[in-house]
Amino acid sequence: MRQQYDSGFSLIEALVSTAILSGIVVAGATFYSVNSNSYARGQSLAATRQNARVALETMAREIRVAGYDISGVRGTLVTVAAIQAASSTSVTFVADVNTNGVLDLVTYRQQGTMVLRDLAPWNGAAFPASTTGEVSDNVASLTLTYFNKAGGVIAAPVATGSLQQIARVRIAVVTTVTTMGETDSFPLLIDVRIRNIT
Amino acid sequence: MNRSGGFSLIEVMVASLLLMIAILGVAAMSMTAAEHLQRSGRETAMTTLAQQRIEFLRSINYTAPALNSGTTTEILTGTWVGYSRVTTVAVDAPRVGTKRVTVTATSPGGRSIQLASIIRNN
Repeated sequence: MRQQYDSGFSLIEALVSTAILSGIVVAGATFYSVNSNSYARGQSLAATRQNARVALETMAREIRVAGYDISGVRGTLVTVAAIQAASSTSVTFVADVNTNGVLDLVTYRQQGTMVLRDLAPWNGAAFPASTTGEVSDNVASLTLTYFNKAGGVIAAPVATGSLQQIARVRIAVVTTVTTMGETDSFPLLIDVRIRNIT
Repeated sequence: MNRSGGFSLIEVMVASLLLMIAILGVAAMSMTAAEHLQRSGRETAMTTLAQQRIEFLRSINYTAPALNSGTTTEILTGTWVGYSRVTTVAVDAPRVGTKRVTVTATSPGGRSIQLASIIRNN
């Protein structure tokens, strides 16, 4: 015969077990949310660093060949220097960057949190209006430093008469990202020697 | 059947012990993951720093003072506080007209990575 007190849970037992269960659920949820946050943070950190690297590599590759021109158009320009304009936050140069035999006018500049690239291929008489593309986002700063052959710094913005002296460019990019209230910044720099200087 | 109403003390203790071991295992996993994440971040930083140095040495004149024979130690600051970088330049190595540069970057954790390159006079 079944005893009366053995037939179910008492109110206290039910309350205690519910409390313990909710404790376990809260702990599990916290563990999950902490891990999920750190995953999201890791993702955006990696993406930002990737952005910085892409911006730097793209700029370095094209600035390195500044002045490369098999069409000979550069010799007819008002400013024959490979680098046409140089400031600490933007640089404009001529180079046949896509090696299609046509000289291109390329500008890299920072606008807001983006690094933009303007491209204009020579149309036979002039450089027409350029098309703009985005190179990188999350950019806090883009700083360009110019050096002459002896290694001395040329003050930026570089005067037209001194453009010809630029032999080396240092590109420094700082990217920042804020995820879950935490801001991470990542500085990268690269030194580029221009190969086609006259 | 008057003793079938619950667990004995021993049973509860054993169950708690097992639960504790399981939780410790998960916690240890989490900590190891965090540690490795930090280590991986430092590896990236060291590679970046060493590469930056090599790119710099590549970009300057072959006869510039930074490419003189010898060892240079840099203690980095700012974002890279705790990191250091040692550059060794060997002139006319591995053959005449080239310089062998070896860059060793060290992280705050004491781990280091080494990159080497050969620079030609051009």
